[in-house]
Amino acid sequence: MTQTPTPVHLFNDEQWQQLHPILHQLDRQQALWLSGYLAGGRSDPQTESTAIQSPGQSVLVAFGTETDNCRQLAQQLAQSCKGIGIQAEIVDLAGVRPRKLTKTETLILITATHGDGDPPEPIADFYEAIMADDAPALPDLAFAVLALGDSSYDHFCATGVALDNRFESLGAKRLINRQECDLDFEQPASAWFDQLLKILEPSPTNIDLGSNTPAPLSIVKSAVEYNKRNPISVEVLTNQNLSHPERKAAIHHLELALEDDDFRLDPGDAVGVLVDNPPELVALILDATELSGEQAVTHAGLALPLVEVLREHRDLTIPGKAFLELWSNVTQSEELKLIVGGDNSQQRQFLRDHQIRDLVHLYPARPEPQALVDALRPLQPRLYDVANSLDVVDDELHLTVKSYCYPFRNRLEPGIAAQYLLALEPGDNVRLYPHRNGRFHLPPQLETPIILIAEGTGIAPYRAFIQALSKTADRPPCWLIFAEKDFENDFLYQLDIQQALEDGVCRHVNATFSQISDGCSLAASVVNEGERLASWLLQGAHIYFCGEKASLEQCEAAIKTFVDEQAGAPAWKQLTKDKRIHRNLY
Amino acid sequence: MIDRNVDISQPVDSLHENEQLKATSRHLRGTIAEGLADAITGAVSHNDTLLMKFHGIYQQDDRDQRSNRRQRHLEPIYQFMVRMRIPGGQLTRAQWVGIDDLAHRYADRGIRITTRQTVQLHGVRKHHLRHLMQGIRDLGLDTKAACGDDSRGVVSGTNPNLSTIHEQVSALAKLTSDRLIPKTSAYPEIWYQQPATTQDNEEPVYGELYLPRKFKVGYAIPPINDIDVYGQDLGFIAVIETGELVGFNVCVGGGMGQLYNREDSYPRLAEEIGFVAANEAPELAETVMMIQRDFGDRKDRHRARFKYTLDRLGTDWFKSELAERRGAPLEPARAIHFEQNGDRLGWEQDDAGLWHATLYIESGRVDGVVRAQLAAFFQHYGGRVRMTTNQNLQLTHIGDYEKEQVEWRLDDLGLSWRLTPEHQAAHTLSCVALPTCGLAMAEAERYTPRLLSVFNRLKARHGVDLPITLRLTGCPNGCARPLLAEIALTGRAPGLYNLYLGGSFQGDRLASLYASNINEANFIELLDGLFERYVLQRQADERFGDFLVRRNLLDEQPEKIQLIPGDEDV
Repeated sequence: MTQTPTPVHLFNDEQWQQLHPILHQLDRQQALWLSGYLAGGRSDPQTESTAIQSPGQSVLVAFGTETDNCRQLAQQLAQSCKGIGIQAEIVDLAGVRPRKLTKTETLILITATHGDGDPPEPIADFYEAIMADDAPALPDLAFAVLALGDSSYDHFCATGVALDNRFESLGAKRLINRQECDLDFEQPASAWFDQLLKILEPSPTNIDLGSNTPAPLSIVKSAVEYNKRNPISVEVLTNQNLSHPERKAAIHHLELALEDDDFRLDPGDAVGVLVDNPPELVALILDATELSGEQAVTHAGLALPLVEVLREHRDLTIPGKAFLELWSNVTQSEELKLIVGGDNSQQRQFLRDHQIRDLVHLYPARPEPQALVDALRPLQPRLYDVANSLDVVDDELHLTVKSYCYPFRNRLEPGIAAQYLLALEPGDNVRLYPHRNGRFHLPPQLETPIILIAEGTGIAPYRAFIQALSKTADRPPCWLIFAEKDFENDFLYQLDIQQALEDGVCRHVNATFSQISDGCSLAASVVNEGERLASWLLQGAHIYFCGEKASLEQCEAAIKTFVDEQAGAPAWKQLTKDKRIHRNLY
Repeated sequence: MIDRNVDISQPVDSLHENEQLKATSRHLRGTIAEGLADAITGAVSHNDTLLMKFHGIYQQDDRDQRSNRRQRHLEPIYQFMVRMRIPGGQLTRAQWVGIDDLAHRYADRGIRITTRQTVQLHGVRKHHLRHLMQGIRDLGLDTKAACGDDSRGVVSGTNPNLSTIHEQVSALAKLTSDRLIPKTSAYPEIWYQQPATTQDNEEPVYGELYLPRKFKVGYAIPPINDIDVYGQDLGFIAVIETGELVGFNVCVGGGMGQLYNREDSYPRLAEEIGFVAANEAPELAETVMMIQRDFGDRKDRHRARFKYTLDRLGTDWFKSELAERRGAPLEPARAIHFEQNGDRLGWEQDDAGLWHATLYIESGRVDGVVRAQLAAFFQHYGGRVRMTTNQNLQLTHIGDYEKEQVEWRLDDLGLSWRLTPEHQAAHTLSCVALPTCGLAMAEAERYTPRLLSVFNRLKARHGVDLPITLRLTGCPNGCARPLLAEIALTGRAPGLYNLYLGGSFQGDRLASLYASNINEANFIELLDGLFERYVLQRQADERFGDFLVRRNLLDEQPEKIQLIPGDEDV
């Protein structure tokens, strides 16, 4: 920025003489603030259009995500771009049509892969369109792909790989090779960004005055933005088992004290919870490796005791490739060497069959603490839907948490997050951050009828919806459909739902329980009211699905079949296109 | 002219809200069927709970669980008590086995034999109600008017050694019950899902408003007053001359229920008003019930029982009203004699040579071990079964040739001690109370075993060996007929009871309040002193209740008795 020539098309000489010295004294933060201040505070159309017309490289940073990681990376990249004078526009791939790309110069695509190789659910439409035979050729597009994935799945980074190949075959020019990232994506992503920024020539005439983000007011207020790296710590007020004491997969209701007005969420949003590994597991790893928990290791540039890093920051359950390599080195085990040297699928199978506790037990070794920490995957936050509306209960967060166990090598392994949350006691603290479920909010028009379908803990965001609706005067017709096991013990939030029915917030509630209505499924209770369903759809109803993936998908399929067979009802495909189907599945 | 300001002659909208509910219920239909279909709650609406009583069904909840349920964001565990109508209390073996089977499928806590000679099942969930009701129908039984403002199941004394007379009386009880039972087809419509029928003149006797309050009819066979005939709204006392049933002394206006906080609410003994020929008894019962229908208080439910109608309008007025309606006054009452209001336990042979065995059942609860033992016993049993109003179970109509085998089986199954139980237990009654009864203020059935052991130790210490009638209820409503006992405890609050003393062993004298709000320690202390004087000053074979009255000990009350207004409204 030192040799900025006069932007003569913007300022006369006198203005520029006054501005120039000041601009040169600003550090990056100050420049950012000023740019936002000017852009937002003087938002006359002229300024804006000037900004848009300003010449220079412009980059579209598109993200495809379900967990928000890609969006945060996109923001990070866009900031860096602006820092060197490149205009960057951030878009959600979910809203991008392939034709738009024919008019785009540079596309940086940051995308996750969902589960076993599927595109993240929100970008499914885009993915389908770009892969279709009639996708437009993109000869004028330059692109680069950052792919996120989880190496414990077979099809690691599959979506990123597929899109990377697809853009090439559509005639687009690859700026830089694709980068694939595992769960600890932060470091490799940053390195890739640096490489990328060198290639994207900064425009000499642009000093980033025309940026249309961020809004000045939020900067002036210097609101705290909570995120994964900057979580809020909240106190547990209650941790109530909602289930019968004998139920194995207990469901708890947690109430957490929220004392920060900057922590904003809308009904339908979730929180990411930073969980701790269970103390027994940390102890087991320390014992097996004969390491002292007090030893200092470096984590994210900080020196911390090993025990803390293991407890709070590293995944002690699922080994990655790096861990396998480390373990093969420190043990010098022939067996492990064979696997490391073997093919990918064999390696993955081995990693699937062994948890870290198994490896440290079967192949005892004493690694360097720092090497151990570096080889472990980062401990991932877990998302939980918030079960209250902050407009109604503004100083609490309510979560609905179900205990989870899975069989592994002749033992029952508890899910780390559920185990952590279920064991919390009043007075304990939890670290978490808001997570926006942009596609799982109430419809923009309040009068739109809503049909809420949930199984089990899927009821949680609907409780937030219902609370929010209870405060509004003109309520939309609301129909809640819920399924669980036992009427008497598993009717989650029964009192709240009865109240909502009595107050007219819910117009209809169907609750089915597998112990009473043999095999009466969720879908059946919707389809049995087929007339109502059809008439609500004609009134523009939105349908929500929330809960465990397999059964909700089954439910959706059954309802889809029913709706598509109805004369006069809009086709399911159209409903999906119109964004009237909302899914929150796990 | 009598004052008719509070009875059915007044406009319905000026009467108690329950009267208005009955008037608009379409003969007890209300919205019961809709309520059963509501899958969001295990309960039915408040109004429907009132109407369902007429169908023999009480909505309850497990009170032990209430607060835990609230914390779990769940409604209480709503459930229903279903009481059968078994006039005379007789069942075949197959019916008993069938009821036990239904209880296994649809109820908690086994079978409860009640103080009105029937059985009730607890803990039935709403979605099981229809299955249960149809199962009861398939056994040839029903639950009509087992609760509600109507004539409850008619009880009949059990006097096993007068079999011929007992058969006659029992048959009359059944006839009376059939005559007084509500006729509405709401019952088969709702419970059996039969198609709706015409609603014209569904209740020729009851009309739309039914009775102001419950109406209890019972037949007693001296010398056993097991049914506590003086506690019935209408009691018939068999008059036996030269071995033949000639008719009944009629007594009217008994009732146990009272409120702690109202002085115009009290228990009352039925008074004998005359004699009626045996075959006229069922018709007389209907006439008496119709008088209560027409003149009972329908504005103040706490003054609606027949006993208050009699006190309000006078027994003389009643007798003339009755004479007018039946065309003739009653003949004068004949001489009768009662010896006890407890059951005769053990084996008895009747005048026809058949054998009857009365088994003691603690608090009438057939659950757990005794349930399993009885189930095993009933696998091979040729006789019949009868419940007594003292919550016991009789094996009846056992031939001479099979008696030995029955004895052997009872012995083998560990049931034979129930034929000769410890005497005090056999003279102790308790109501259900917590956790299911909504009216209970204190424990009863669940506290009985402990109370009995405490009481027996006290008796043993003083060398008191005669049994004393002891009755325990969770509230003052009188389900276990407490005030006809020598010693009664009625619940005030958890762990606290009012103590009543001085009833007679044969149930013809009311006990009176001796101390309020006492706990177990107070109870022991108070009885300790009284027992001490009893063993020193009693006459030969003098009963404890009689002793207290003879020595005027009840006037020396241990403290100034204050009726503390309670907040429980019944």
